[in-house]
Amino acid sequence: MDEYQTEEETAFIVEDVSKIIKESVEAAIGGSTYQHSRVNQWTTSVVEQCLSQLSKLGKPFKYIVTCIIMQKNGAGLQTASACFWDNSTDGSCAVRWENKSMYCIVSVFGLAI
Amino acid sequence: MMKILEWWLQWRTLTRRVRPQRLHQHSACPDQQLWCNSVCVSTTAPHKRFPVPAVTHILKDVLSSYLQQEKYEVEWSQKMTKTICEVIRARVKDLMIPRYKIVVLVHIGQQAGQSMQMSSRCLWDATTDSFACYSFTNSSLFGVATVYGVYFE
Repeated sequence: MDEYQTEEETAFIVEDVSKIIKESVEAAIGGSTYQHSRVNQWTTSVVEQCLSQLSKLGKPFKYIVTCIIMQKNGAGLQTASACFWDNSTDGSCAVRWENKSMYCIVSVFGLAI
Repeated sequence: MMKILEWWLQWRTLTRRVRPQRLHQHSACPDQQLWCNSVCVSTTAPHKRFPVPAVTHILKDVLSSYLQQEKYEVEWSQKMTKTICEVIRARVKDLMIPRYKIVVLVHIGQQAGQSMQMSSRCLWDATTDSFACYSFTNSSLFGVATVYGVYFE
């Protein structure tokens, strides 16, 4: 059977995805102070930017992007994930970003089609 | 020879009703016969869709039973998020939804008056893929569980 794309072109590359996440977060909330009235717009912006850049990679994946923005006040937050998928083709990447007033945790899951 | 077989199978699929137990094959499918995978990929819609109400019920059941009377502690919540994730994954797998990949996300946080927002977006096929979500709160903590079901085409 002919290969349409090389294995590298169809693999989930964590470094590339991590870079996309960091750039999206910086662009959306870099330099901002936490504001409850704007947080909805920020999470939407982060998630949409990520998805837009991920789709431009042109890889045969379905993507799930989640974003949490939480105000810093000493409260704790734990996150875990478990997947039932194909380990050889699917992958995930999580990035934790923070500044003086808030945390931003973005997770991306890529599932090969 | 394989190409001829492949074309014949595709023609048969288009002209007759597909009989899944004979034609489509993938590691996620219950049937184990070896047939050309392109037949499976081409026109097969899910036999059983992602059951959002059933999965929501699982999330509600698991979160309530594990978190009901608990107080937030760092080490306890680290273990509990992983445990709850694995329990939810096992119970959703037991629903035996063929050809669906599952992603389970669990967050447990402390109730300390902080403000936060959780959002997610997906690039997928909205006709086959879906998600279920449930959140639980008590005076000390909150827990949010989300399960995404993604159809393997």
